[in-house]
Amino acid sequence: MNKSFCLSIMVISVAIWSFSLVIPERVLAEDALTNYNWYCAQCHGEGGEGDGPNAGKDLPVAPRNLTKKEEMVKFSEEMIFNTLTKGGPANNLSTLMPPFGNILPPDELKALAKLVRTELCKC
Amino acid sequence: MNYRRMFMIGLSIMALLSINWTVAEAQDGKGIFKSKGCGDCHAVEGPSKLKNIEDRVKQKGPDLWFAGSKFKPRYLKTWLEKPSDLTGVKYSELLPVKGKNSHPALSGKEASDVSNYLMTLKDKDMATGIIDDKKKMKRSALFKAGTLFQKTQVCFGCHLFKPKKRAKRAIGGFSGPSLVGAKKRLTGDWVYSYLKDQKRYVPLGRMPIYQGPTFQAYPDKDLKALAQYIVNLY
Ligand code: HEC
Ligand code: HEC
Ligand code: HEC
Repeated sequence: MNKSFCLSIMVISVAIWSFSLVIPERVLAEDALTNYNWYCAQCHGEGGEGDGPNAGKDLPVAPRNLTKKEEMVKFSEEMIFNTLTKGGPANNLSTLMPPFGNILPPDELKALAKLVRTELCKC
Repeated sequence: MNYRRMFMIGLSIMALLSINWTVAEAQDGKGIFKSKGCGDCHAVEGPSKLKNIEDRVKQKGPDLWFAGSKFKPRYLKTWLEKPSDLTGVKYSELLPVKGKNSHPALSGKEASDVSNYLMTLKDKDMATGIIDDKKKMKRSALFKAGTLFQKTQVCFGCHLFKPKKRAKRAIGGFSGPSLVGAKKRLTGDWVYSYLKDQKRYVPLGRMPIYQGPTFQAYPDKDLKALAQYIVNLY
């Protein structure tokens, strides 16, 4: 085997090794539907109809039916983003709608607001 | 009988006894925890390094690495003997729980050994001596703290609780653990510590995070009152 071949193998393996050191572990941004099913469905239901397991007569207000177009057109994507970040009171709604700004970064909350408008209320 | 034979019999009895002894030793709480496969579903070392919801959904049971800080000393034995549902949904899912509780149960001696073992698992970095569990809240303080739990944020949206000691039934949602009987179950210091830094104990939990840089639901004084209120719930 010739010398330069051995040398290049060495160089390449060192390069790969250092590469693996530099690249940080990839932390994926969660996709909007995964976030919805994990955080929101417990109240709003998997289909968004306001029928998650927590929805019951004990609650002071019902988790909104997010598929009801007539009601949902009132809320722009921007308003929904604010509600998601700081909770219901950001839009004069009940504190039963919780804040998620401490859990999810703004881009994931924006993606959720978009999901609500394009997939759930389609408005 | 000759002495040699007696000596040999004595020796084998002693050997047998010592085997028994090591078995007994392995049967202490930590051993039982291992041999019953409790560790398949519960982590006893932490903090957890879960990265994303996909991994969280695969988790089969809550972390117990801080059990000794979280639970009241006498609670665990009772629960392990007769496990009861904590939430109304299957762990990591949203399907309703149905039928009898299926969590493995332990018999008296085992339950107390495992409970003793779990109570040695402390969060060494947790501040203690902040909330006095035994303190009886005055009626006015109780009312104010009740508002923090029921109105400031609607915590019972996901937690069953009894608004009054003699309430006929518990009210609320149930995707989170029931807080009925929290008085017997949780320590005030842990509840306070948890509410201050939820991610430390439950990374990727389903509960919204109420204290953080983007939104802070309670000033520290209220957070303490809230923790005190929770560990006074019947
Ligand atoms: C604890 C139960 C609960 C959870 C969890 C929850 N919501 Fe809500 N949500 C509510 C309630 C109750 C309302 C209605 C508030 C009112 O009408 O005063 C509401 C209202 C809304 C609205 C309509 C109001 C507005 O300003 O846009 C949207 C959109 C919404 N929720 C989206 C979400 C999303 C997305 C998530 C997950 C990140 C989520 N919710 C999690 C209970 C909940
Ligand atoms: C198949 C998985 C699984 C196994 C095996 C298992 N557990 Fe659990 N355990 C769970 C789940 C899930 C919960 C939460 C129950 C709920 O939310 O209703 C839980 C809850 C607990 C709790 C918390 C009780 C509370 O009040 O918060 C303790 C303590 C516990 N388990 C101990 C044990 C011990 C000891 C064993 C072994 C004998 C064991 N578990 C075996 C899944 C498991
Ligand atoms: C959207 C549902 C939801 C709301 C609203 C909610 N929680 Fe929780 N809570 C949970 C869940 C789910 C858990 C279990 C850990 C996790 O997955 O985050 C939990 C855990 C807890 C625990 C620990 C209990 C245990 O046994 O481990 C305490 C204490 C608690 N919540 C208090 C509160 C308080 C106080 C509020 C109001 C400020 C609140 N929760 C609002 C869902 C909720």
